[in-house]
Amino acid sequence: MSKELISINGLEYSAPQNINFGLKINKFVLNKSDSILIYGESGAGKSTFLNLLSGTLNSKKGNINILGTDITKTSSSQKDMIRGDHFGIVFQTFNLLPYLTVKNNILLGSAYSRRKTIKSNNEEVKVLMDKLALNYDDLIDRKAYELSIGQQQRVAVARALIGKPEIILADEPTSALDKNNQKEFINLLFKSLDDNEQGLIMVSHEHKLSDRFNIVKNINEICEINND
Amino acid sequence: MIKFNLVFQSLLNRWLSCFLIILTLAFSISLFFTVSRVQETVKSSFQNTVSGVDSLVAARGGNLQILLNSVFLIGEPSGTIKWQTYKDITNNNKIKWAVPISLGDSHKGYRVIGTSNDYFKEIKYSSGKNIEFQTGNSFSDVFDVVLGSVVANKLNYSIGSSIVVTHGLSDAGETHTFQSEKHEEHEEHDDHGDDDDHADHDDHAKHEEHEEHDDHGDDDDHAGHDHDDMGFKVSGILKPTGTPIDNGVYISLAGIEAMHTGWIGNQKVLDVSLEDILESELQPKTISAIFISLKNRTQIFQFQRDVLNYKNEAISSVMPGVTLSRLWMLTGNVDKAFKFITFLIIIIALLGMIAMTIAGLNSRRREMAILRSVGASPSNIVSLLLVESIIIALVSCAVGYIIMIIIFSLGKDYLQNNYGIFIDSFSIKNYDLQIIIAIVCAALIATIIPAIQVYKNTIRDGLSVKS
Repeated sequence: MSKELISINGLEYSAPQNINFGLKINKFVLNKSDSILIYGESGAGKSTFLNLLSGTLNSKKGNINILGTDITKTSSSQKDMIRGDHFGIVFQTFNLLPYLTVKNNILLGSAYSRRKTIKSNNEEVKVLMDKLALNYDDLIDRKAYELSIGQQQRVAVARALIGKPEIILADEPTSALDKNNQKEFINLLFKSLDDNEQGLIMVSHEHKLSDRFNIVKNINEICEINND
Repeated sequence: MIKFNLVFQSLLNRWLSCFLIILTLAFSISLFFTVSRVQETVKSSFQNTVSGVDSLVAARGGNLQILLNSVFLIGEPSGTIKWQTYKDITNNNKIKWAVPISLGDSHKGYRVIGTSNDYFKEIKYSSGKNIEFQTGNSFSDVFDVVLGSVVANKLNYSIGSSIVVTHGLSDAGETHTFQSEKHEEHEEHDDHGDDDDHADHDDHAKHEEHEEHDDHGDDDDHAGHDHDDMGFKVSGILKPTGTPIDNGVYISLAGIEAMHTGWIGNQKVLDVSLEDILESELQPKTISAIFISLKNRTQIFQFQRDVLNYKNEAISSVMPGVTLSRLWMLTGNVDKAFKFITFLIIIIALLGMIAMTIAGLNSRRREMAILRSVGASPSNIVSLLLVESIIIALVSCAVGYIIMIIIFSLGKDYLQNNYGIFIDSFSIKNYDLQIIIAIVCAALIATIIPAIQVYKNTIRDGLSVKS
C-alpha cells in the first residue's frame, strides 16, 4: 500500500444556505510519518478543513482520498465508519465526557470502530497512559472532571491514539495550556505516535510550536477562501 | 458495554432532572396500575361473590340496592319481607333451594347476617366453590355465631370467643359514642336493673305486642346499640373466600330474633330475660331477602313472574348476573373516565420528559461532537437518546409498580373492610405488560422531537461546536 494517507484534489466547498463562505483546495497530501502544522488566523477555514477531512462536511466538487477511498463518493454512514476506524481527533478543550472515568474516556475512542476495538485493551490503555506521563494507577478510575486541563488534554490524546488509527487530527490542542505545558504536551504527543504508520495534522493560530513538525504551512497556502 | 455505560453515566450526570421525571412518570404509572387492579378485582370479586344464585327475592325496590345490600353488604338495607312471604315463595315448585337472610345489625363495623345453616351449604362463590369452615361448625345454638375469615382475623376471635352484636349499622368508632348514650338509657330504666330481670313477667305481654313492630331492617336505622346483655359465642370460622363473605358475621335467624326481643327500632323498651327468650318461639317475623336457586335455570322468567304476581306483599326478584352486568356498565364508564385522566397524566409526564431532554440538548452538543469525532453517526447519537428514554420509561414502570404495591399495602385494610375488595397487588398481570409496552412506545414516540433536533445539530455542528 502506498504511503499516502490523505490526498485531496481540486476540492471545492461552499457553506449551505445563507452563509457566504466557500473554500477551494487544489492539492493536499498527508503521508505516513508526516507531521503537518497548519497555522492561520481564525476564520481562515481551519475548522472547515478539518471537518471536510473527517467527513462531517460534504464537498461540492473534487475528491478526498482517505487510505485509497474517495469519501466524497461514500454515504455519510460510511464516512462515519472511516472516521471511526482511521482517525484520532483531539479538540482544543473539553475533549472528554466529564462524567466518564479516564478509562472509559480513552476506550470511547474505539467504541464506534470494530477495527479499533480489536486493537485496544487495558494493556494498550496503560501503555498509552505511560507514554503520555499519566499515572495509570492514580488516574484510571477517576472521573474526567477531576483532572487538570493538562491531564485532560493528554487523556484526549490517548483517546485519539487508542486502536492505532492512521490519521491524527489535532485542532489547537495546546490553546488551553500554559507555555511549559504546551511544550511538554507536544513532546509527549510526538513520543506517542508511531512514526512508521501514523500521520499527524495539527492546526493552530500560531506557529511557535513548529520545531517538531516536518511540514509547516500557512492555511492560505492550502485553502483559497471565497467570502463573496 | 461502554455505550451502555455512556447512556447510564450520562443519565446519572443529570440525576436530578431524571429523578424528577422518573418520579412524575412513576406516579402516573402507579395510578394506572392501581386503577386497573381495582377495576379488575372489583369486577372479579363482584362476579365471584354470587355463584349459583339464580334469583334474589326482596321487598320491592331498586335492583341494584337489593343486590348491593344483600350480596355485597354495602349501603342501607332495603325494606323487609314477612316470614309468611318467605314460606309462600319457597313453596314454589321451581325452587331447588332457598336461603333467607336478615340484615341490619353489625358487630364492630362488620355486618351481621342472620341466616340458616343452609347458607353455608348452598351459597357458592368463585363459580361453584363451597364455603368451607376453617375451624368449628355452623350454628347449633341460638347464640352461636359464625365469622368470616377477615372478621376473625381482624378482631382476633377464635372458637368460643364471646361477642356482642350491635343493633344497627354503626362503625366500631360510632358504637362507643352510642354506648355512652346507652348507659344513660340504662340509668333511666334503673328500675329494670339486671338483678330484677327474672321478675319481669308482667312485661312479657307487652313484649309480645312490640314484636310486631320489630323492624330491625329499618331504613332510618343509622344508630348502633349494643345488645350487650345478649352474648353470642363463636362456633365456627370460615375459610377465606376473597369475597364479601369474609366480612360477614353470621348468626341464626333465631339469634337475630332473640337479640331484638324487647326492642322497638333503636329503643330498648323492656328487659327480657334469657330464659324468657329461649322459652318464647324464636320465629323471625321479617327477613331482608331470600337467595334462591332454581331446579331449572331456564324457568327464571316464569319464576320472576310468579314473584311479581305475589299478592300479599310487594316483592321483586332480582337476577344477580343481569344486575351485575348493568352495574358494571355503569361503573365501567366511571372507570373509563378515570383511566382517561390517568392516561392524560401519563402524557403530561411524557411531555415533561421531552422538555427535560430538549433543555439538556444544548449543553450536550459538545458531548455529541466528541461522539461524532470517534465515529458515531447521527443515528448512533439519536439511538443513545432513544435508549435513554427506554431506560427512563422502564425505571419509571418499576418505580410505579413499587408505588402501587405501597398504595395497596397501605390501603388494603380499608378496601377490605369497607368494600370487601381484595387486591392481589404482587402478581404481574397481562395488562401490566401491555401498559409497560405502551409506555415504552410512548416514551420513544415522545423522543422523536428531541431526536430530530439532535440529528440536525450533529449534522450542522460536525466536530466544531462553538461553546
